[in-house]
Amino acid sequence: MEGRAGGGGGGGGGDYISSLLNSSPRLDFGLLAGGVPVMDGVVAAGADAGGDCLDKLCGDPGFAERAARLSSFNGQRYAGAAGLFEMPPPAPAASNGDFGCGGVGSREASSVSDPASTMKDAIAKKRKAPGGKGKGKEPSLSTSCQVGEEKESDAKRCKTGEGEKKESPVKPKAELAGSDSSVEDGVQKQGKGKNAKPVEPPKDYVHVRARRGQATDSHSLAERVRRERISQRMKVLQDLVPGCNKVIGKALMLDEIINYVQSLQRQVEFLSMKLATVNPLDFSNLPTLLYKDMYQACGPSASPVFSLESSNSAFPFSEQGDVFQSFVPNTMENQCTLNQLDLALSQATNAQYAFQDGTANTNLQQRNFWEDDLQSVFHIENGQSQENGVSAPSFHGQLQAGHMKMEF
Amino acid sequence: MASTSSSAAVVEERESGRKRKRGGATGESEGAEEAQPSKWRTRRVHEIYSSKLLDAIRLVRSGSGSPASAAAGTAAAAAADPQSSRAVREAADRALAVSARGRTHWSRAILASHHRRLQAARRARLREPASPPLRHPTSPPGKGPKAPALARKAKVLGRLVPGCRKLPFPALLAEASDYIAALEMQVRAMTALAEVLSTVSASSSGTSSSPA
Repeated sequence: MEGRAGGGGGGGGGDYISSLLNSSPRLDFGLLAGGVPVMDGVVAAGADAGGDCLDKLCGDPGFAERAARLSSFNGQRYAGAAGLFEMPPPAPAASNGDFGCGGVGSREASSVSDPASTMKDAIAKKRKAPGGKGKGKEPSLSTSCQVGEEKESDAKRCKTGEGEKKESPVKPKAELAGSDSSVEDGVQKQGKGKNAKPVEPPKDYVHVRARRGQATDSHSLAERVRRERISQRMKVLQDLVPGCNKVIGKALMLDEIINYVQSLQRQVEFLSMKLATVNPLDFSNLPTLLYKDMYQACGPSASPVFSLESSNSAFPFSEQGDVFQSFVPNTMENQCTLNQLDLALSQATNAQYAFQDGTANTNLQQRNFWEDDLQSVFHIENGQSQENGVSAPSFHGQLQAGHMKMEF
Repeated sequence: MASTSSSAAVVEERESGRKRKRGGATGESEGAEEAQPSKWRTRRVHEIYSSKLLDAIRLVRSGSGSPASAAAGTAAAAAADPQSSRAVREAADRALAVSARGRTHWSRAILASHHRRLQAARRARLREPASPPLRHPTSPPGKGPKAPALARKAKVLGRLVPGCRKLPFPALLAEASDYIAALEMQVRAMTALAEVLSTVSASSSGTSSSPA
């Protein structure tokens, strides 16, 4: 490879460029997989890709020249275009001699940036242009890359190893501007699987995409991850707690959350007190009470319960069928007293979960399994509202299914 | 009332739908290693909880009813003492914790504290009566200058959510969100139950005048 590159360099611009391009397609495989720092001058791409790679890589004939020129001002450590393509430094002396020194860098970089990005994409090493691209916009990289960032990213791309966070290569002074850190991060962590070809197996790191102008040492990265996690959870809480939308800031939101939790706990206490004061005899007298209620058509005391049902529509029976049928015989015998309460409870529950009635037919079938007392209940209910009477057994059944689920 | 409850129900349904969708989305991002607060909005968990709650209350009632059966002539005598309401609340919390399937800190803490209390009571009964229940020592008084406001509030929140005093902040937030969702469900279920029972008791008192 060296020989070839040297030969290419010695042969002149065209040969050199072709050699560069020839070796480049293999770069990602070699370097990306191995994480070899280019600055060591290791030749990663040893393939004789030949002409096909050239076609594959770029249709731009001028691209090669610009790439080569870019390599020159990247400095020796980047091995020229290796900074772009992770290529070995092919006879740095030759390249420098051929293409001048880094003074031309900025101008060249701008022209190179677009084809460079195309090249990069072709290599399937998707990079995010750090300058204001946000995260995950790598496919658009080729079309809208910025000049300065592009240069930086090229320079930094030699850092393929994921773990090599700190080895920020020495930037070519003239070219790299501003946010080196962001680029470094972009290089280091290719995002969570954002590469078209995820050649680098993600290690146990948390992959963070740094943005422009952000610090990138490990501490601040970890901090950023932590902060993002926290803000994620705060968003969830914000949706949960009513009235948190107007408040901005963690402290105020925490205040709201604390208040809300306290109010919920107070509500639970109040309700538990209320439940405790309910007549204890209710539980034993429940069936008779309910019968009386049901049999008294449209009794005023019964109306609150029925009004709840009338307000809702039956809900679809998703997993009801066999569970329900197998369960009904047991429940009928053992939990007679509980049935009616469950029924009423489920009706009250239904008031809070208004589902669409899609299974009226199945409900009708299942009604056949019900005993007479409950059927009388349904008749009364049917007097109130057709669909709700049909849905009542479904509610009950679902509650029984709930019992069964409890007991696993 | 029917219209308001129906509108509230519709709103809840929409909310629950939205929440389930969003919960699904965030669940993927969080790796689904912990329960999402949206799971407390499903109908099924509501019903599971309601039935557990019912059983728990019946147990409490039977538990408190037998010793007080002699005096339980009127409802008020047996029902109005704070003891029974506290017992009901703890039973409700336990039912809630069981419904959580033990994936959250607060649910495990609720059940663990109950278990601990049972064990202590059992041991007390075995050894000698009237041994005071264990209480872990409170933090020493006398603070220095006020810690940062966020840390203070995080501590307060940690004390509110059972079993979350020493959790790191992000975990505390996650526990709090799940706990809030669970509490909301608890309130809904208990309201429904109270409603049903009150109507039943009202009807019973109404019909008891005319013996069948």
